Amino acid sequence: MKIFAILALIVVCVIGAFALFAWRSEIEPVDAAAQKFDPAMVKKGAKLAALGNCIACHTVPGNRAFSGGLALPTPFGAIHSPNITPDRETGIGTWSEAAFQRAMHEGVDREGEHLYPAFPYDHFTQVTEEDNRALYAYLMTREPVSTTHAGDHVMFPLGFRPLLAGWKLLFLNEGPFRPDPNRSAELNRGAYLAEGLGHCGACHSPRNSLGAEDKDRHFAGGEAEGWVAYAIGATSYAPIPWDTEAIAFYLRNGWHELHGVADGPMAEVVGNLADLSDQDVDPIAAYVASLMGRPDAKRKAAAERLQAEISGPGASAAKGGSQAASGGGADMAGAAIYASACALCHEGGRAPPYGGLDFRLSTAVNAPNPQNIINVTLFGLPPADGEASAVMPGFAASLDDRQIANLLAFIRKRFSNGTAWDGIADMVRRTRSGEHKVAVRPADSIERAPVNVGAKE
Amino acid sequence: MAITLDVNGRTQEVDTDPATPLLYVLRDYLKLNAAKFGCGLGQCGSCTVMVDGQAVFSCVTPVMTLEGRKVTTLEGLGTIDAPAPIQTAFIEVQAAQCGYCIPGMMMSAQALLQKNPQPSEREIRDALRTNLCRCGTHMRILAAIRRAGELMKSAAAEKAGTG
Amino acid sequence: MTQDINRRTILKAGGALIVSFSILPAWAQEAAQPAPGPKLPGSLNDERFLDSWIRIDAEGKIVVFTGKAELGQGIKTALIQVAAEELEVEPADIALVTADTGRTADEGFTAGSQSMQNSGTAIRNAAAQVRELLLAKAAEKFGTGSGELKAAEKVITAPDGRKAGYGELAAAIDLHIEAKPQSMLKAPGTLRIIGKSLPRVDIPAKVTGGIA
Repeated sequence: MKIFAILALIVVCVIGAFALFAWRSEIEPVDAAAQKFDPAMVKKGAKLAALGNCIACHTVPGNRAFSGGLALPTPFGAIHSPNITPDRETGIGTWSEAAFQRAMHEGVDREGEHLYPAFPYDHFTQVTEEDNRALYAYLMTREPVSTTHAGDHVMFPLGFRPLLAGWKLLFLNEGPFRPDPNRSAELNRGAYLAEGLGHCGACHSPRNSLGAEDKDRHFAGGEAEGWVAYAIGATSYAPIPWDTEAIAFYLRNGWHELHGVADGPMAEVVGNLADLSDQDVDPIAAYVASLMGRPDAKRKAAAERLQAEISGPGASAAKGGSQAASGGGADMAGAAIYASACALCHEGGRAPPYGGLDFRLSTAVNAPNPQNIINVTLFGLPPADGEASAVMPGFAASLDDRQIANLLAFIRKRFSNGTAWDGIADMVRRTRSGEHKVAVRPADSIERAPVNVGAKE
Repeated sequence: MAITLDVNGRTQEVDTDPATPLLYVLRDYLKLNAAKFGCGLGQCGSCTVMVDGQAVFSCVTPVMTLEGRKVTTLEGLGTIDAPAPIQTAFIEVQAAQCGYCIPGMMMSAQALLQKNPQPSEREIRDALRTNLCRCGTHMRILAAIRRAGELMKSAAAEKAGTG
Repeated sequence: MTQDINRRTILKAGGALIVSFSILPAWAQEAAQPAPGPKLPGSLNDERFLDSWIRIDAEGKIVVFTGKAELGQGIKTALIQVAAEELEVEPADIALVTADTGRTADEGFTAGSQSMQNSGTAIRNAAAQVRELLLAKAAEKFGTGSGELKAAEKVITAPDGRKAGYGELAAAIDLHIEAKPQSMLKAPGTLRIIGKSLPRVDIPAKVTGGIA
């Protein structure tokens, strides 16, 4: 009996200690929007919000900017983004700056509830108080929007939020950002933006079984909204290695002639970055390029060969087309579909973004996982609203699973040295049916909001 | 290669390269000229037809992929003497200027309305995102699609009432 | 002899150039054409015969010709309105032939909002003159003054009720005659069709896959 009593006491103590550990106080409500904000601060906040791509998760396509409600599918269930307009009832209109700072640094809302790490506070914890102040000023000067949102549908027992304190204990290293004295000021600035507010790793790093980023495999490639977020580093599958200039151009323009067009969630990222200055984006590019490292001699030689081949005479002439097919019926079918549906743009001689990328340059064609090229083939690249943009038709309605599989097998064989992809038809089927959910976005545009708001607002 | 096609409910055989775009087969072999060649790259939508009820760009659809599937062109919806609701609506609203993009617009709209007879303004705009008009009846096109939805609805109600 | 042409030599030769330019075109015109007739309205000035614009066969079928093309701007409908108005018929009675190398006047580009101004003016004047010819022929037949006659529905009616169809009258008229500079255009207050917004005649075919 005595032993049980002691055990019970220990359990109670542990629970009590955990409760104490998990407990966060409420921060007094204020009338946030009534405050006066320096316009320069608001402007700075707008830039930072664009860098942080806040609008992407916090807006349902077609709804008002930052009004939340977007369902974020996670392996643990669907989490709905909150309304972060300064509406007092349904937004964050009662949040003081201190409450905002705490949410960014610790992942706790004003009332003291732990937030799910779908809100990437494991990155935002590095954002300086000064930058948070500007973000706060920007958000509090948006128009308040009143909303009703569906609740979250996370798996048991994750609905019990104090458990998130345990997750944080394991995976949240609270900021602030510590510059590396061995790096240049520009690289430190880039690291601060990319690792903090930019939260690149949220998509580009793999996650463990508890949904936390695997710190040992930083930028080794991850997943976002049904798309592969390719590795940034030595394991990049880009046939022509990325360099600082290419990354900067890509981030600012949403495409690069040797790499193609941003698609999926990255389209929103670059759509937002488009309205920043080179000065804001260059440090990120420099930092990301520093992680890419220098390609080894073999990769470098292959890239040089490819570049010579592509810019040489008759570069695109004798590549594809049905005549190029060898082997059996599936190969013939793939080649015929390629000739009719793809070659006109992808071998049309018109440079990206308005012409299709030469598939020899495509990371999607050269990567071992065909998910991204399946997504693009099925859903295309929708045009942006009211501005010139890259565009590609989707083929979901005209090609069946087997035909797309034949086509992609042909493209892989023809334009990459990689081994053949396995099980493409089944992946196509799962993607088409929605079993594998994919978010489709126009190129170079913020389409979650009605009129391409975001940094442009 | 002989390919059997079901176009507007008629089964027809065409002898052509399997990679021939459907648009060429429609216009050159079957003399169905509603679908137009615009960009030839699946970007402007003037070649839009329906395959199994879904809008597709016929200029980038290899004809070999269509065996056993139902192709519908604007000619298959109705005639000048017996127009389909969407055709009636476009005439009523006078929703064409030069008319080059219009058959594609109408097929995209028809595919939408078959799935969703009462689309919202945003759903209409989304469905027509890949149909370009360069001379400017955009607002009338939108109005005509809304009107077509009404006409389809009343036609369905009439049918239900009498049948 | 070769000579560099530069600004200075051009300037030196300027006087001679001016003389030659001012004289040569005048000679060329006189050599190419006989004395021009009077200035006619719109494109009639270039294509001067009435039957270049309007023909009526013995069955009363009316065909109107224009050298301008329908581009969706609606000129088919508008030109039909103009012709029907002056011919005192309904728009549905008119068949319009547009921009056909072998059959219509060469009116150059269809551009610059010039179609109604040039072709529309030609057709309106030609139609009014044809109507007057039909009325004159009917007056001759009925032995009345043409002012007492009424034209409607392709028929001309005398005060006493006698009728003559456009086809029958047209068969007795030669429309291959030059237009006159002045036409008896209908007064603005009496217009029935011009100024009304009619459904475009090209749209039904355009939305059903036909030739418009």
